[in-house]
Amino acid sequence: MVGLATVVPQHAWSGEQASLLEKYARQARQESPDFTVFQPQRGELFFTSRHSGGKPDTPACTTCHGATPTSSGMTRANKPIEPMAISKTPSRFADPDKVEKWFGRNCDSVLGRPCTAQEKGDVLVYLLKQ
Amino acid sequence: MLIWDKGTRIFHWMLVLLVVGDALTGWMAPKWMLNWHVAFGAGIGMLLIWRIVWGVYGPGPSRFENFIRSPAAVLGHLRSVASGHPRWHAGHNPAGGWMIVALLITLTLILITGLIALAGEEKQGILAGWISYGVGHLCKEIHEGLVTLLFVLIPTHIAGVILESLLERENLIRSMITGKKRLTAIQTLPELQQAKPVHALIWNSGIALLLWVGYLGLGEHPAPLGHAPWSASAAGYAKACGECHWSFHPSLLPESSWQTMISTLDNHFGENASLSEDVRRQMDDLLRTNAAHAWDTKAANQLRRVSKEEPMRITAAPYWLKKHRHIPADSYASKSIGSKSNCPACHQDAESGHFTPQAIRNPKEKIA
Repeated sequence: MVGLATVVPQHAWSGEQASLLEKYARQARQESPDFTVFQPQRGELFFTSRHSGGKPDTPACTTCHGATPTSSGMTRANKPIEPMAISKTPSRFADPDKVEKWFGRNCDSVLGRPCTAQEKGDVLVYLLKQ
Repeated sequence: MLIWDKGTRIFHWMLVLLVVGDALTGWMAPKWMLNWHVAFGAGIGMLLIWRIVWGVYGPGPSRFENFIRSPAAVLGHLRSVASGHPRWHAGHNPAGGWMIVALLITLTLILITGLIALAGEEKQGILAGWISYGVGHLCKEIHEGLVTLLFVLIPTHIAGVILESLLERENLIRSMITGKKRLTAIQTLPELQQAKPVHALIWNSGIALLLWVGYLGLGEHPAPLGHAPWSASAAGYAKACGECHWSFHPSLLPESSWQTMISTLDNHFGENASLSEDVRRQMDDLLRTNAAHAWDTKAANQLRRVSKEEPMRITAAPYWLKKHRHIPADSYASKSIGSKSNCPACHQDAESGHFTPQAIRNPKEKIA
Protein backbone atom coordinates (compact mmCIF):
# COMPACT_ATOMS: atom_id res chain seq x y z
CA MET A 1 0.00 0.00 0.00
CA VAL A 2 1.46 3.30 -1.04
CA GLY A 3 2.04 5.73 1.80
CA LEU A 4 -0.67 8.35 1.96
CA ALA A 5 1.93 11.13 2.02
CA THR A 6 2.55 10.44 -1.64
CA VAL A 7 -1.07 10.82 -2.71
CA VAL A 8 -2.23 13.69 -0.47
CA PRO A 9 -0.59 16.85 0.83
CA GLN A 10 0.49 16.69 4.43
CA HIS A 11 -2.46 17.24 6.76
CA ALA A 12 -3.88 15.83 9.97
CA TRP A 13 -6.89 13.62 9.55
CA SER A 14 -8.74 10.90 11.46
CA GLY A 15 -8.53 7.18 10.85
CA GLU A 16 -11.81 6.99 8.95
CA GLN A 17 -10.90 9.93 6.74
CA ALA A 18 -7.52 8.38 6.02
CA SER A 19 -8.96 5.01 5.00
CA LEU A 20 -11.53 6.78 2.82
CA LEU A 21 -8.79 8.65 0.99
CA GLU A 22 -6.78 5.46 0.63
CA LYS A 23 -9.79 3.76 -0.92
CA TYR A 24 -10.30 6.58 -3.40
CA ALA A 25 -6.58 6.61 -4.20
CA ARG A 26 -6.73 2.90 -5.04
CA GLN A 27 -9.78 3.42 -7.24
CA ALA A 28 -8.27 6.48 -8.92
CA ARG A 29 -5.18 4.47 -9.85
CA GLN A 30 -7.38 1.78 -11.35
CA GLU A 31 -9.41 4.32 -13.32
CA SER A 32 -6.39 6.12 -14.66
CA PRO A 33 -2.77 4.89 -14.47
CA ASP A 34 -1.51 8.52 -14.75
CA PHE A 35 -3.07 9.37 -11.38
CA THR A 36 -0.50 10.60 -8.89
CA VAL A 37 -1.87 12.92 -6.26
CA PHE A 38 -5.14 14.40 -5.00
CA GLN A 39 -5.00 18.16 -5.37
CA PRO A 40 -7.03 20.50 -3.15
CA GLN A 41 -6.90 23.28 -5.80
CA ARG A 42 -8.46 20.92 -8.34
CA GLY A 43 -11.02 20.00 -5.69
CA GLU A 44 -11.87 23.64 -5.04
CA LEU A 45 -12.34 24.28 -8.75
CA PHE A 46 -14.55 21.21 -9.05
CA PHE A 47 -16.62 22.17 -6.00
CA THR A 48 -17.29 25.75 -7.04
CA SER A 49 -17.67 25.42 -10.83
CA ARG A 50 -20.91 25.26 -12.67
CA HIS A 51 -21.29 21.88 -14.34
CA SER A 52 -23.53 20.92 -17.22
CA GLY A 53 -25.18 17.55 -17.59
CA GLY A 54 -26.95 17.52 -14.26
CA LYS A 55 -30.30 18.92 -13.16
CA PRO A 56 -30.85 22.55 -14.15
CA ASP A 57 -31.58 23.70 -10.61
CA THR A 58 -28.33 22.24 -9.22
CA PRO A 59 -25.51 23.32 -11.55
CA ALA A 60 -22.86 23.41 -8.80
CA CYS A 61 -22.08 21.87 -5.41
CA THR A 62 -22.24 25.36 -3.97
CA THR A 63 -25.87 25.70 -5.09
CA CYS A 64 -26.94 23.76 -1.99
CA HIS A 65 -23.80 23.77 0.17
CA GLY A 66 -23.29 27.51 0.16
CA ALA A 67 -20.66 29.72 -1.44
CA THR A 68 -17.81 28.61 0.86
CA PRO A 69 -17.24 25.38 2.81
CA THR A 70 -17.57 27.30 6.08
CA SER A 71 -21.03 28.60 5.24
CA SER A 72 -24.11 26.53 5.94
CA GLY A 73 -26.30 25.56 3.04
CA MET A 74 -29.90 24.64 2.32
CA THR A 75 -31.39 21.64 0.53
CA ARG A 76 -33.98 22.26 -2.13
CA ALA A 77 -36.55 21.03 0.41
CA ASN A 78 -35.46 23.87 2.74
CA LYS A 79 -33.57 21.76 5.25
CA PRO A 80 -30.39 23.47 6.52
CA ILE A 81 -27.07 21.79 5.68
CA GLU A 82 -24.26 22.16 8.18
CA PRO A 83 -20.99 23.54 6.77
CA MET A 84 -18.77 21.04 4.94
CA ALA A 85 -15.64 22.40 6.67
CA ILE A 86 -14.44 20.17 9.52
CA SER A 87 -13.45 23.33 11.35
CA LYS A 88 -17.18 24.05 11.66
CA THR A 89 -18.60 20.52 11.56
CA PRO A 90 -16.05 18.13 13.09
CA SER A 91 -18.07 15.03 12.24
CA ARG A 92 -17.71 15.57 8.48
CA PHE A 93 -16.40 12.59 6.47
CA ALA A 94 -16.22 10.36 9.54
CA ASP A 95 -18.91 8.03 8.18
CA PRO A 96 -17.76 6.47 4.88
CA ASP A 97 -21.26 5.16 4.09
CA LYS A 98 -22.67 8.64 4.41
CA VAL A 99 -19.93 10.09 2.19
CA GLU A 100 -20.59 7.50 -0.49
CA LYS A 101 -24.37 7.96 -0.25
CA TRP A 102 -24.13 11.69 -0.84
CA PHE A 103 -21.48 11.52 -3.55
CA GLY A 104 -23.79 9.06 -5.27
CA ARG A 105 -26.85 11.31 -5.11
CA ASN A 106 -25.22 14.70 -5.53
CA CYS A 107 -22.91 13.83 -8.44
CA ASP A 108 -25.99 12.55 -10.21
CA SER A 109 -27.81 15.83 -9.53
CA VAL A 110 -24.96 18.20 -10.36
CA LEU A 111 -23.07 16.34 -13.09
CA GLY A 112 -25.60 13.81 -14.34
CA ARG A 113 -23.01 11.07 -13.86
CA PRO A 114 -21.07 9.37 -11.00
CA CYS A 115 -17.96 11.25 -9.86
CA THR A 116 -14.63 9.61 -10.57
CA ALA A 117 -12.53 8.52 -7.61
CA GLN A 118 -10.05 11.27 -8.44
CA GLU A 119 -12.76 13.89 -8.34
CA LYS A 120 -13.98 12.55 -5.00
CA GLY A 121 -10.48 12.54 -3.55
CA ASP A 122 -9.73 16.05 -4.82
CA VAL A 123 -12.92 17.39 -3.25
CA LEU A 124 -12.20 15.59 0.02
CA VAL A 125 -8.68 16.94 0.41
CA TYR A 126 -9.96 20.42 -0.42
CA LEU A 127 -12.73 20.24 2.17
CA LEU A 128 -10.54 18.54 4.78
CA LYS A 129 -8.27 21.57 4.75
CA GLN A 130 -11.15 23.97 5.58
CA MET B 1 -84.02 48.84 48.55
CA LEU B 2 -81.04 46.55 48.10
CA ILE B 3 -82.08 43.50 46.10
CA TRP B 4 -78.89 42.25 44.40
CA ASP B 5 -76.03 41.47 46.76
CA LYS B 6 -72.49 42.33 45.73
CA GLY B 7 -71.60 38.74 44.98
CA THR B 8 -74.45 38.33 42.53
CA ARG B 9 -73.64 41.64 40.86
CA ILE B 10 -69.94 40.95 40.51
CA PHE B 11 -70.77 37.48 39.24
CA HIS B 12 -73.12 38.87 36.58
CA TRP B 13 -70.74 41.41 35.11
CA MET B 14 -67.67 39.18 35.26
CA LEU B 15 -69.70 36.59 33.40
CA VAL B 16 -70.51 39.18 30.73
CA LEU B 17 -66.81 40.03 30.34
CA LEU B 18 -65.67 36.43 30.16
CA VAL B 19 -68.42 35.42 27.74
CA VAL B 20 -67.43 38.29 25.45
CA GLY B 21 -63.80 37.22 25.76
CA ASP B 22 -64.69 33.65 24.90
CA ALA B 23 -66.82 34.75 21.96
CA LEU B 24 -64.00 36.85 20.54
CA THR B 25 -61.30 34.23 21.07
CA GLY B 26 -63.59 31.51 19.80
CA TRP B 27 -64.50 33.17 16.52
CA MET B 28 -62.32 36.05 15.57
CA ALA B 29 -58.95 35.79 17.26
CA PRO B 30 -56.10 33.90 15.56
CA LYS B 31 -56.08 30.19 16.32
CA TRP B 32 -52.93 30.36 18.36
CA MET B 33 -54.83 32.31 21.02
CA LEU B 34 -56.66 29.14 22.01
CA ASN B 35 -55.12 29.31 25.48
CA TRP B 36 -57.05 32.51 26.17
CA HIS B 37 -60.26 30.88 25.04
CA VAL B 38 -59.67 27.99 27.43
CA ALA B 39 -58.66 30.34 30.25
CA PHE B 40 -61.81 32.45 29.90
CA GLY B 41 -63.80 29.21 29.84
CA ALA B 42 -62.15 28.09 33.06
CA GLY B 43 -63.09 31.44 34.60
CA ILE B 44 -66.69 30.97 33.52
CA GLY B 45 -66.61 27.50 35.07
CA MET B 46 -65.56 28.90 38.41
CA LEU B 47 -68.25 31.60 38.23
CA LEU B 48 -70.92 29.01 37.43
CA ILE B 49 -69.97 26.85 40.39
CA TRP B 50 -70.10 29.88 42.65
CA ARG B 51 -73.49 30.98 41.32
CA ILE B 52 -75.08 27.57 41.66
CA VAL B 53 -73.97 27.29 45.29
CA TRP B 54 -75.14 30.88 45.86
CA GLY B 55 -78.47 29.98 44.31
CA VAL B 56 -78.96 27.67 47.28
CA TYR B 57 -77.28 29.62 50.08
CA GLY B 58 -77.35 33.22 48.90
CA PRO B 59 -79.73 35.94 50.06
CA GLY B 60 -83.40 35.63 49.07
CA PRO B 61 -83.51 37.35 45.67
CA SER B 62 -80.54 35.30 44.46
CA ARG B 63 -81.98 31.93 45.47
CA PHE B 64 -83.27 29.62 42.78
CA GLU B 65 -86.28 28.69 44.88
CA ASN B 66 -87.51 32.27 44.69
CA PHE B 67 -87.34 32.91 40.96
CA ILE B 68 -87.75 29.51 39.30
CA ARG B 69 -91.50 29.26 38.90
CA SER B 70 -94.00 26.96 37.21
CA PRO B 71 -94.85 27.28 33.49
CA ALA B 72 -98.20 28.72 34.51
CA ALA B 73 -96.48 31.48 36.46
CA VAL B 74 -94.23 32.24 33.50
CA LEU B 75 -97.18 32.42 31.13
CA GLY B 76 -99.04 34.58 33.60
CA HIS B 77 -96.15 36.99 33.75
CA LEU B 78 -95.78 37.12 29.99
CA ARG B 79 -99.49 37.88 29.66
CA SER B 80 -99.13 40.71 32.14
CA VAL B 81 -96.23 42.08 30.12
CA ALA B 82 -98.26 41.84 26.92
CA SER B 83 -101.00 43.87 28.54
CA GLY B 84 -98.49 46.65 29.23
CA HIS B 85 -98.75 46.26 33.01
CA PRO B 86 -96.24 43.67 34.12
CA ARG B 87 -96.58 42.18 37.56
CA TRP B 88 -93.84 43.55 39.81
CA HIS B 89 -91.28 41.23 41.38
CA ALA B 90 -88.58 42.29 43.80
CA GLY B 91 -86.07 39.91 42.27
CA HIS B 92 -86.19 38.11 38.93
CA ASN B 93 -89.63 37.70 37.39
CA PRO B 94 -90.61 34.15 36.34
CA ALA B 95 -89.66 34.61 32.70
CA GLY B 96 -86.32 36.10 33.69
CA GLY B 97 -85.90 33.20 36.08
CA TRP B 98 -86.25 30.67 33.31
CA MET B 99 -83.88 32.67 31.13
CA ILE B 100 -81.30 32.47 33.90
CA VAL B 101 -81.73 28.73 34.13
CA ALA B 102 -81.44 28.44 30.35
CA LEU B 103 -78.28 30.54 30.35
CA LEU B 104 -76.67 28.64 33.22
CA ILE B 105 -77.43 25.25 31.68
CA THR B 106 -76.31 26.33 28.23
CA LEU B 107 -73.07 27.79 29.56
CA THR B 108 -72.39 24.64 31.58
CA LEU B 109 -72.93 22.42 28.56
CA ILE B 110 -70.75 24.68 26.42
CA LEU B 111 -68.01 24.32 28.98
CA ILE B 112 -68.25 20.56 29.23
CA THR B 113 -68.36 20.02 25.46
CA GLY B 114 -65.50 22.48 25.11
CA LEU B 115 -63.32 20.54 27.53
CA ILE B 116 -64.10 17.28 25.75
CA ALA B 117 -63.47 18.83 22.33
CA LEU B 118 -60.16 20.25 23.53
CA ALA B 119 -59.11 16.79 24.66
CA GLY B 120 -60.35 14.84 21.65
CA GLU B 121 -59.43 17.25 18.87
CA GLU B 122 -56.33 19.02 20.13
CA LYS B 123 -55.14 16.45 22.67
CA GLN B 124 -54.84 19.22 25.23
CA GLY B 125 -56.31 20.03 28.60
CA ILE B 126 -57.07 17.90 31.57
CA LEU B 127 -58.87 15.16 29.61
CA ALA B 128 -56.16 14.79 26.92
CA GLY B 129 -55.53 11.14 26.15
CA TRP B 130 -58.84 10.05 27.61
CA ILE B 131 -61.06 11.24 24.77
CA SER B 132 -60.93 9.92 21.21
CA TYR B 133 -60.77 12.26 18.23
CA GLY B 134 -64.21 11.09 17.09
CA VAL B 135 -65.86 11.97 20.39
CA GLY B 136 -63.95 15.25 20.59
CA HIS B 137 -64.99 16.20 17.09
CA LEU B 138 -68.64 15.50 17.84
CA CYS B 139 -68.45 17.59 21.02
CA LYS B 140 -66.90 20.42 19.05
CA GLU B 141 -69.92 20.48 16.75
CA ILE B 142 -72.27 20.39 19.75
CA HIS B 143 -70.20 23.13 21.39
CA GLU B 144 -70.63 25.36 18.34
CA GLY B 145 -74.35 24.60 18.15
CA LEU B 146 -74.81 25.51 21.80
CA VAL B 147 -72.90 28.75 21.24
CA THR B 148 -75.37 29.60 18.47
CA LEU B 149 -78.16 28.97 20.97
CA LEU B 150 -76.38 31.23 23.47
CA PHE B 151 -76.23 33.95 20.83
CA VAL B 152 -80.02 33.71 20.64
CA LEU B 153 -80.55 33.61 24.39
CA ILE B 154 -78.36 36.61 25.19
CA PRO B 155 -80.10 39.13 22.91
CA THR B 156 -83.43 37.75 24.12
CA HIS B 157 -82.30 38.27 27.69
CA ILE B 158 -81.17 41.84 26.95
CA ALA B 159 -84.39 42.57 25.09
CA GLY B 160 -86.41 41.21 28.00
CA VAL B 161 -84.51 43.36 30.50
CA ILE B 162 -84.98 46.47 28.38
CA LEU B 163 -88.68 45.76 27.83
CA GLU B 164 -89.30 45.11 31.49
CA SER B 165 -87.32 48.26 32.37
CA LEU B 166 -89.49 50.36 30.08
CA LEU B 167 -92.75 48.91 31.33
CA GLU B 168 -91.84 49.08 35.01
CA ARG B 169 -90.15 52.44 34.61
CA GLU B 170 -87.10 51.13 36.41
CA ASN B 171 -83.60 50.88 34.97
CA LEU B 172 -82.99 47.19 35.62
CA ILE B 173 -79.49 47.34 34.18
CA ARG B 174 -78.58 49.99 36.72
CA SER B 175 -80.16 47.80 39.39
CA MET B 176 -77.75 45.03 38.52
CA ILE B 177 -74.91 47.51 39.08
CA THR B 178 -76.10 49.30 42.22
CA GLY B 179 -78.19 46.41 43.52
CA LYS B 180 -81.11 48.74 44.28
CA LYS B 181 -84.69 48.68 43.09
CA ARG B 182 -87.61 50.96 43.91
CA LEU B 183 -89.97 49.41 46.37
CA THR B 184 -93.26 49.30 44.50
CA ALA B 185 -95.47 46.69 46.06
CA ILE B 186 -94.79 45.62 49.59
CA GLN B 187 -96.90 42.49 49.39
CA THR B 188 -94.69 40.72 46.86
CA LEU B 189 -91.58 40.60 49.02
CA PRO B 190 -91.27 36.98 50.07
CA GLU B 191 -87.65 36.69 49.05
CA LEU B 192 -86.02 37.94 52.17
CA GLN B 193 -84.09 34.89 53.38
CA GLN B 194 -80.70 35.74 54.79
CA ALA B 195 -77.57 34.64 53.01
CA LYS B 196 -75.63 31.74 54.52
CA PRO B 197 -72.11 32.59 53.41
CA VAL B 198 -70.45 29.94 55.58
CA HIS B 199 -72.55 27.21 54.01
CA ALA B 200 -71.68 28.60 50.60
CA LEU B 201 -67.99 28.67 51.47
CA ILE B 202 -68.05 25.07 52.67
CA TRP B 203 -69.77 23.91 49.51
CA ASN B 204 -67.45 25.88 47.25
CA SER B 205 -64.42 24.56 49.07
CA GLY B 206 -65.75 21.03 48.91
CA ILE B 207 -66.35 21.25 45.18
CA ALA B 208 -62.95 22.80 44.63
CA LEU B 209 -61.35 20.00 46.62
CA LEU B 210 -63.22 17.37 44.63
CA LEU B 211 -62.11 18.93 41.36
CA TRP B 212 -58.53 19.08 42.57
CA VAL B 213 -58.57 15.43 43.58
CA GLY B 214 -60.11 14.53 40.25
CA TYR B 215 -57.45 16.51 38.43
CA LEU B 216 -54.68 14.76 40.35
CA GLY B 217 -56.35 11.41 39.86
CA LEU B 218 -56.57 11.81 36.10
CA GLY B 219 -52.93 12.70 35.96
CA GLU B 220 -51.16 13.28 32.68
CA HIS B 221 -52.04 10.58 30.20
CA PRO B 222 -48.88 8.74 29.08
CA ALA B 223 -49.92 8.83 25.43
CA PRO B 224 -52.05 11.94 24.87
CA LEU B 225 -51.65 11.67 21.09
CA GLY B 226 -52.91 8.11 21.12
CA HIS B 227 -49.37 6.82 20.53
CA ALA B 228 -46.08 6.65 22.40
CA PRO B 229 -43.91 9.77 21.95
CA TRP B 230 -42.08 9.76 18.63
CA SER B 231 -38.40 10.44 18.02
CA ALA B 232 -37.24 10.55 14.42
CA SER B 233 -33.59 10.19 15.38
CA ALA B 234 -34.13 7.33 17.82
CA ALA B 235 -35.96 5.41 15.10
CA GLY B 236 -33.11 5.87 12.58
CA TYR B 237 -35.63 7.76 10.52
CA ALA B 238 -33.87 11.11 10.69
CA LYS B 239 -30.67 9.64 9.27
CA ALA B 240 -32.30 7.61 6.52
CA CYS B 241 -35.02 10.05 5.47
CA GLY B 242 -34.48 13.38 7.24
CA GLU B 243 -31.34 14.82 5.65
CA CYS B 244 -32.92 16.48 2.60
CA HIS B 245 -36.20 17.50 4.17
CA TRP B 246 -37.67 17.53 7.64
CA SER B 247 -38.51 14.12 9.05
CA PHE B 248 -42.12 14.03 7.97
CA HIS B 249 -44.14 12.67 10.84
CA PRO B 250 -45.40 9.14 10.01
CA SER B 251 -48.93 10.02 11.13
CA LEU B 252 -49.32 12.38 8.18
CA LEU B 253 -49.89 9.64 5.61
CA PRO B 254 -51.82 6.35 5.62
CA GLU B 255 -49.99 3.05 5.44
CA SER B 256 -50.75 2.54 1.74
CA SER B 257 -49.06 5.84 0.81
CA TRP B 258 -45.94 5.03 2.83
CA GLN B 259 -45.78 1.60 1.25
CA THR B 260 -45.91 3.01 -2.27
CA MET B 261 -43.33 5.67 -1.42
CA ILE B 262 -40.77 3.34 0.15
CA SER B 263 -41.01 0.95 -2.79
CA THR B 264 -40.42 3.71 -5.37
CA LEU B 265 -37.54 5.64 -3.79
CA ASP B 266 -35.64 5.75 -7.08
CA ASN B 267 -38.24 8.27 -8.19
CA HIS B 268 -39.02 10.09 -4.98
CA PHE B 269 -40.80 13.27 -6.06
CA GLY B 270 -38.31 13.55 -8.93
CA GLU B 271 -35.23 12.58 -6.94
CA ASN B 272 -33.33 9.34 -6.62
CA ALA B 273 -33.56 8.69 -2.91
CA SER B 274 -32.67 5.00 -2.98
CA LEU B 275 -31.56 3.34 0.22
CA SER B 276 -29.65 0.14 0.89
CA GLU B 277 -32.05 -2.79 1.01
CA ASP B 278 -31.83 -3.42 4.75
CA VAL B 279 -32.36 0.26 5.60
CA ARG B 280 -35.18 0.43 3.09
CA ARG B 281 -36.90 -2.56 4.65
CA GLN B 282 -36.38 -1.05 8.10
CA MET B 283 -37.99 2.25 7.05
CA ASP B 284 -40.81 0.41 5.31
CA ASP B 285 -41.62 -1.45 8.50
CA LEU B 286 -41.25 1.67 10.68
CA LEU B 287 -43.46 3.93 8.59
CA ARG B 288 -46.18 1.39 7.91
CA THR B 289 -46.43 0.47 11.60
CA ASN B 290 -46.58 4.11 12.71
CA ALA B 291 -48.76 5.45 9.90
CA ALA B 292 -51.88 7.61 10.33
CA HIS B 293 -54.01 4.75 11.60
CA ALA B 294 -51.74 4.37 14.64
CA TRP B 295 -52.31 7.91 15.92
CA ASP B 296 -55.42 9.70 17.21
CA THR B 297 -54.48 13.32 16.53
CA LYS B 298 -56.63 15.56 14.37
CA ALA B 299 -53.99 15.54 11.64
CA ALA B 300 -53.70 11.76 11.66
CA ASN B 301 -57.45 11.22 11.58
CA GLN B 302 -58.05 13.69 8.78
CA LEU B 303 -55.01 12.95 6.62
CA ARG B 304 -55.95 9.27 6.33
CA ARG B 305 -57.88 10.53 3.32
CA VAL B 306 -55.40 11.22 0.55
CA SER B 307 -55.60 12.84 -2.86
CA LYS B 308 -56.66 10.38 -5.55
CA GLU B 309 -54.22 11.78 -8.09
CA GLU B 310 -51.26 12.20 -5.72
CA PRO B 311 -51.70 9.82 -2.80
CA MET B 312 -48.17 10.35 -1.54
CA ARG B 313 -48.33 14.13 -1.44
CA ILE B 314 -49.46 15.40 1.96
CA THR B 315 -50.02 18.91 0.61
CA ALA B 316 -52.48 17.55 -1.97
CA ALA B 317 -54.69 15.85 0.61
CA PRO B 318 -58.22 17.33 0.83
CA TYR B 319 -57.83 18.21 4.51
CA TRP B 320 -54.49 19.95 3.95
CA LEU B 321 -55.97 22.00 1.13
CA LYS B 322 -58.94 22.95 3.29
CA LYS B 323 -56.88 24.05 6.28
CA HIS B 324 -54.44 26.12 4.20
CA ARG B 325 -56.95 27.56 1.75
CA HIS B 326 -56.68 31.13 3.08
CA ILE B 327 -52.90 31.28 2.77
CA PRO B 328 -51.78 32.95 -0.47
CA ALA B 329 -49.96 30.44 -2.64
CA ASP B 330 -46.97 32.69 -3.21
CA SER B 331 -46.26 33.12 0.50
CA TYR B 332 -44.70 29.64 0.58
CA ALA B 333 -41.93 30.85 -1.70
CA SER B 334 -40.67 33.32 0.92
CA LYS B 335 -37.13 32.75 2.11
CA SER B 336 -38.07 31.66 5.59
CA ILE B 337 -40.59 29.07 4.41
CA GLY B 338 -39.44 27.88 1.01
CA SER B 339 -42.20 25.47 0.08
CA LYS B 340 -45.54 24.04 1.19
CA SER B 341 -43.81 20.86 2.35
CA ASN B 342 -41.77 22.74 4.95
CA CYS B 343 -44.28 22.25 7.76
CA PRO B 344 -41.92 23.19 10.65
CA ALA B 345 -41.49 26.69 9.15
CA CYS B 346 -44.89 27.62 10.57
CA HIS B 347 -45.87 24.65 12.74
CA GLN B 348 -43.33 24.76 15.52
CA ASP B 349 -44.45 21.40 16.90
CA ALA B 350 -44.47 19.55 13.55
CA GLU B 351 -41.72 17.12 14.60
CA SER B 352 -43.94 15.70 17.33
CA GLY B 353 -46.92 15.31 15.04
CA HIS B 354 -49.12 17.26 17.45
CA PHE B 355 -49.84 20.33 15.26
CA THR B 356 -51.54 22.42 17.93
CA PRO B 357 -53.07 25.80 17.01
CA GLN B 358 -50.93 27.57 19.60
CA ALA B 359 -47.72 26.39 17.92
CA ILE B 360 -48.52 28.08 14.62
CA ARG B 361 -46.34 31.08 13.93
CA ASN B 362 -46.45 32.45 10.40
CA PRO B 363 -42.95 33.79 9.87
CA LYS B 364 -42.83 37.32 8.56
CA GLU B 365 -42.28 37.36 4.83
CA LYS B 366 -38.73 38.22 3.96
CA ILE B 367 -37.91 39.43 0.52
CA ALA B 368 -35.75 36.63 -0.92
